[in-house]
Amino acid sequence: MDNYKKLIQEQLLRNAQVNSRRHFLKDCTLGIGGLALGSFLQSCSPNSIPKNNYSTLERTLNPLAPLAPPFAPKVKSVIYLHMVGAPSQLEMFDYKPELQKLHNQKCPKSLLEGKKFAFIRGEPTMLGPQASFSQAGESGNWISEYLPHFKKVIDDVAFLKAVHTDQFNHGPAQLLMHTGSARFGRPSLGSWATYGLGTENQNLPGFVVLSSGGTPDAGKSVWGNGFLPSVYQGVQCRSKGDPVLYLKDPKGVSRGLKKDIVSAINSINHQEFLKYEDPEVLSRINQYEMAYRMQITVPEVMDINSEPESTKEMYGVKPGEESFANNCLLARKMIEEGVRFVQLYDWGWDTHGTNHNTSVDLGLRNKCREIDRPITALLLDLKQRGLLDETLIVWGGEFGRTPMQETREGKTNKFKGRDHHGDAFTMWMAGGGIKKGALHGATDEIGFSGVEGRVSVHDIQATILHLLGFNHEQFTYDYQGRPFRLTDVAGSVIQEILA
Amino acid sequence: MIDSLVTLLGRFHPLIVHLPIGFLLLGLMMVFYDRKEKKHLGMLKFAFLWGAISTLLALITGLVQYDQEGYQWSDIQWHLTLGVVTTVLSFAYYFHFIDFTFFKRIPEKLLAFSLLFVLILTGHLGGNLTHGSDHLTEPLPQGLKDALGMEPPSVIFELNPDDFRGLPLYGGVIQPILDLKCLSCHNKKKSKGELLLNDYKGIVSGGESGEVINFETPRKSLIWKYIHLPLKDEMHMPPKAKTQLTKAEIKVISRWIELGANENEVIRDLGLERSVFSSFFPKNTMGIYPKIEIPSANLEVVENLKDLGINIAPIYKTATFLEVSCVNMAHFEDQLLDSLLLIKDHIVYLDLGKTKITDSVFSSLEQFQYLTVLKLDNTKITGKGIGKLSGLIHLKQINLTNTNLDFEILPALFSFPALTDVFIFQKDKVDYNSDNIPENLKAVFEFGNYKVDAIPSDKIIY
Repeated sequence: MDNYKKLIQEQLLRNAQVNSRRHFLKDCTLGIGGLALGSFLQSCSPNSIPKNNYSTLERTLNPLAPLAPPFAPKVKSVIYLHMVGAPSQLEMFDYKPELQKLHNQKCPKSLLEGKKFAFIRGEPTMLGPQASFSQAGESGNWISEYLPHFKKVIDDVAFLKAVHTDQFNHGPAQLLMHTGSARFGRPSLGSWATYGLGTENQNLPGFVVLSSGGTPDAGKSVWGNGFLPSVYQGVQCRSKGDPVLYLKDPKGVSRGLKKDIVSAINSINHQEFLKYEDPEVLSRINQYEMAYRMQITVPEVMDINSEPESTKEMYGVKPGEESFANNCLLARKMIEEGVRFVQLYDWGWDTHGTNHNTSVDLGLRNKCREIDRPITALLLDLKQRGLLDETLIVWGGEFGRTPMQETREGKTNKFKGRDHHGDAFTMWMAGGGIKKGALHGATDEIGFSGVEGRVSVHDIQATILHLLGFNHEQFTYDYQGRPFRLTDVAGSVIQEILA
Repeated sequence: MIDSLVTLLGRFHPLIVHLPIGFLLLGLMMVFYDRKEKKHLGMLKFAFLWGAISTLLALITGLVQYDQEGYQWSDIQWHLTLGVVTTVLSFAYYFHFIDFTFFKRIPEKLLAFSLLFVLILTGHLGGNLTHGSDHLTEPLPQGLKDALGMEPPSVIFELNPDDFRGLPLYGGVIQPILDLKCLSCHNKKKSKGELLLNDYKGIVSGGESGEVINFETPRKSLIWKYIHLPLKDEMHMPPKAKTQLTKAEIKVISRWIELGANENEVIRDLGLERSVFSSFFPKNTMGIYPKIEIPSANLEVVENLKDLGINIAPIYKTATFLEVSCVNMAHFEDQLLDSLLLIKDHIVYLDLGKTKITDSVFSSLEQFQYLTVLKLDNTKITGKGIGKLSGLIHLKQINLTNTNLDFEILPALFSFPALTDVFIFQKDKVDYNSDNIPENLKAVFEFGNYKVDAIPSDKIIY
């Protein structure tokens, strides 16, 4: 009996040992850590990602399904024409006769005080406008001889003469213009637009990028999706060679075989869906099908040879080459097919005056000639097809250029050229919701700073979103614990150019 | 002399009203305390005598104040009526205590409860007059306000586009803007910088930095200066954390100061352009679509149509009118249009471009009574039968570009009531005669066929 009691005693003792404070602190701490870790890890699971207004079931299945904006939109789609390198407003739109009188005179020191330039050092001289200007259209807006065709459509556009930016180097300025931030990592305008609105045509990308002459300095981030899902990034299409890289079937793989492959993968995916019911799987199935459809549709739309001669003549296209004219015609075709956002980049506008091509009196004329007729044709073509009223066309660069001749490292450049200048430059908009022939903002007598109606880059973005039916202050995406917007914490809609 | 004494008497109303509230409430509490033993009848008589007298005094001073101080009848009618009722009830209660036979018959509970109710309600309505009707609800959390169905206060100032020119610029535009954006700091209770912006007198008198309007050099006015300073400037007004003036508001205030900051001049006489005011006009949320409200379409029907591949979305998120596009349905044929008849009253925008439709669609289309935009571009439509649509009183745009359009049908469109744009550009047809289109409709028909001819300078390479 004693032994039996002993046994009980021992069991109680053992029990007590594992119930002691010492045991708890010594042996169970890892377990507590584990418990805590579990709750930390939960925040990494996909279920904890904050649900945005835009994540509906329909969206999960097809992230590009068309959606209605919160407010009645003025336009359905956007064509954004960006002149990479920053075109000289003083030779194109901003007529400054006073600057002509000051030509070759030393720039007053007061103008340079506290200012930083990308290249100008020392004391530059003033550089008068190298183009002659005239008033055109019923609006009587000024236009340079560099753009003779553009006079035809000048009454359709609204000029912003005093845009300003706080960046004076290409990369950051381009990022600011297209993503609302001079640093990497934010979604571009087109990504925001396709995220918020989806796209009409399910056989084409919702956000198409066409470039001529070269890639923008900021790289592909200017059409990147930032923190938005990657399906909203711009798809670069080329007017020469394959329209979309890696979209063509590989050698030896026929269309039929490709179709079999896609349907086999999709049926396996579908079984996966039946098993786990994860809508992400359906989304993957949709992506495969969309890619397959695009393989047929994209080359069709990208083929400008199917257009009638008269249209090709109108734009001045060069089939088989990479040109801005081709891209303008393609932009119209895309818009006609129901693409949401078409972004055009034309490279080669950085007119420093270091050589012939970058001089404002020679090279710039060539660049202007390359865009003059195509842009004019684009506006007229959209108009005659009834598309101008539901499309917004934006034209501009990342900043403007100085009224001074560039003096690189203190020495005057060989050719007539201007340095980067963010204080005042010209942009224009045309199309749905835009007041035709409007003029907003003015620069001082030499075009150095805006004196009236200054608008910022964020103002322009706010206006574009407004026309698409968004309040830029409410159109947000939750990321890293806070809502982000395209216009960050700034920007207001430029009412003065709205119809 | 007598007049001003009478006015002074009226001004005592806000003081005197507290007496009956206190007396009568205490009296009612004593009635409750003494309800069983009924030992303190003498005290109760005393309390209700003075309660009734002070109520009468409050009523008289109140009437004087109403007479002298220009209150609107519509604002005070309930406060006044209930004040009279309170007076009557308090005397009735007093007479009840001193055993007037008539008043003795009224049950005491009825008297007590109705007096309590009327007293509190009258006091509350009076409080609303002096402190504003949102005095009590204003500090509540917004969530609770939403739950109670209370609208957030309107922070938008709007002008009527038709008759705004008859308003005085200051009274009709400037002061309402100041009320919304400046008054929270520059009012009689809290005059930051000792500046009052609640009326013209206050503006003209200026604040601790002197005059805020400079009549000689308007642009040197402090108001003009501070509202134009950049947001990050310390002196910028309104302060960074407050609701900012919009660009249009800054513009109209500046223009008013530049034009001499007059109190009574009417907008019409100042010659200000319409655009200065256009952003204050009520926003037209429907755009070109009918300004009609209809119940939403059957969700199930819409989902079924979407499953067919038709794009259907409201014209904006909360709208009930729908925009329908068959851009993804190149195989769309006439019969399919019948399925859209299920939501025919909701469709205002219909894109049938690039589909296989034929002229027989017009007999279905004529049933879409609110149809505003119709796109038939890049189809085999010839336009035969398009006249059937003449009954669509909202139809504004028709796109017939690149079709088999027979120009002979154009006269059928002349009688359409609302047309603003008809796009009839044909890429391979160039010879047509627009002479038979009436002069007033020429702008409606867009023939297109624009040319951008090469010019000699196109060939010069610099």
